[in-house]
Amino acid sequence: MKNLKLLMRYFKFNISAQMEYRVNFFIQIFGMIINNFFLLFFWWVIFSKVGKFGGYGMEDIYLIYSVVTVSFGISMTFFGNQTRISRIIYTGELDSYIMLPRPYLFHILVSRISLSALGDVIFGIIVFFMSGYAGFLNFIVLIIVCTMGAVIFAAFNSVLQSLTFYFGDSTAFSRVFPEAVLSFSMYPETVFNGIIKIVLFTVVPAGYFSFLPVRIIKDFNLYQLSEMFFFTVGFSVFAFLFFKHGLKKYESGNLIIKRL
Amino acid sequence: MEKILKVEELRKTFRTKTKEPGFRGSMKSLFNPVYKETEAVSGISFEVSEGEMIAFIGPNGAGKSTTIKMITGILYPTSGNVSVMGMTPWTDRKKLSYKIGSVFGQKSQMWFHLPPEDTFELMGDIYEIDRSEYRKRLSELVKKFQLEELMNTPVRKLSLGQRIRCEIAVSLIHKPKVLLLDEPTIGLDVVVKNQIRELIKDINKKEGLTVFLTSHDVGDIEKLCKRVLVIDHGKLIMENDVPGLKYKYLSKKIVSFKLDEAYVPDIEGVKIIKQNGTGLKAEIDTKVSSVQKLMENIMKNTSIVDMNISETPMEEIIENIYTGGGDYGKD
Repeated sequence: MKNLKLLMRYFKFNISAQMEYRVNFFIQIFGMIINNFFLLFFWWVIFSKVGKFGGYGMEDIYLIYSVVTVSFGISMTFFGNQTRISRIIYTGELDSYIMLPRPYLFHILVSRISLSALGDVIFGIIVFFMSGYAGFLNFIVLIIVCTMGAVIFAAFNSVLQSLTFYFGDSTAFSRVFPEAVLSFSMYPETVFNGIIKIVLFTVVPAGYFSFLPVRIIKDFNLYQLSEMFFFTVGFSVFAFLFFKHGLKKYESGNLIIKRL
Repeated sequence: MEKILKVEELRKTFRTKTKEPGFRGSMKSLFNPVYKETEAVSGISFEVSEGEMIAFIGPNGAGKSTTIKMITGILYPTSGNVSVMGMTPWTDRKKLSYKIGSVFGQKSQMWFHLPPEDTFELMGDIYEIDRSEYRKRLSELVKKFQLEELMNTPVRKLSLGQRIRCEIAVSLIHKPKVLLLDEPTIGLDVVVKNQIRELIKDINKKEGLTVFLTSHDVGDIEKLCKRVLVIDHGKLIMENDVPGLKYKYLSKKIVSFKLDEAYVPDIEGVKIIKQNGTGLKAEIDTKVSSVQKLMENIMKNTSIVDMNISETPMEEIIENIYTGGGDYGKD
């Protein structure tokens, strides 16, 4: 609970910091929304030609886009440091987090908010209401599954970025996998099968980031929701332990650091 | 007095990849990496009493920062023990963080785009300080560090001196028992330096704060600390009280005379540096001779109009310790 309070404090904090540059703030948010609509346009062109594709229509694409962008948006908004962990480790910025009485990985993740990602959330919600699945209850389910998806995505990034403890800077390497998760997430589940599908529910967890949440919204059932919940918790614990283990190898650094 | 910090046989080894220069070297190290073990800290032991102000000095790369980072729980040691108020930093990290404050001159805790007050608020939250307690502590610190005018200006618009004042104040918000200062006065002008030193001294006196300081500025050490630890190549090469450092390792004194008539003494242990008419400047090795002997010798032959005795400056003593020159630190 008190950590949730910390998250809210950082949220307010980051907004005030970024509000120092108001114009930039709005450009970031609207830029992201427009950018996403361009991506969607590509699908719209295809479906206007073929009608249905693997049992999926434009309606479903709206839903997939909605789930992915809302999850991604929430993840990046509240855990804005997830792509900077590697950098935080190798520059020694981690020092100041270790010295504060809070769970370090969580503290790192929430201490930065990416406001451009709020644009993703707004876009996702707009698209959700364009899909055929809009409705109050479904909207609540959307927010619940996307919050879990957001945690999974942040945990996934944390694990990859924590590799820096073992191999030195892993920024480039750890960029590839989350990109893969996003790319696979943008397609209907039925496109994949066999080994690829197994991979997508394990190493590149696009399954838990997009396929399963989409299934839950389309056809709500408690069993699938709890599967999603346990995966989220389990994977987060793993990410934390992995980071903690890496910390033993931490070497710190002496770069001059400012908190922006 | 009770020991607040105990360090025993602390050791830290870093494993670094060595690489030959150029592209070929990079390829080689990619497929056949060669590692070198460097011992940053090699078995140091010392103790600090509660309420003490102690300086921890040494040339660049001596292992100061590594030691401090092990004391604060940032780094795991390769071997050895640290106990801060009975806690082991790397296992009791959270509990310890409520008791320690730190200012790293080169790492800012303040949020660059926001006014200091926001960082204070955030830290208040992080340390879970009760609201009324927080407000009381804040106004205390604001008054002491004279931050009234700065509290609402974005940190990026503050001068370095103003910012450091805020940094120290914010590190004290949770009433720590130990304050670690890593080069707190780096880059500051003389006036601000003195101001900061006075503030630290004052808090040490009033709150019984233990201060552990590293600095390259001799003034910090001379004006703040009673005891000094010198570290070099990962080893503790000297432990002494600051006045004693000057006294004990100061074997040379410079004496200038204005005499009634020109005279050049010839005594063992006295070197004449300059002689110009009735002016005389000599260096006395106090292990062989003394000021008294020299004066007696002169006064047998002429009378002294004026004289001036000066010591080797602290800066020079430290330089000598670092470079291993002279007899410094041998006993």
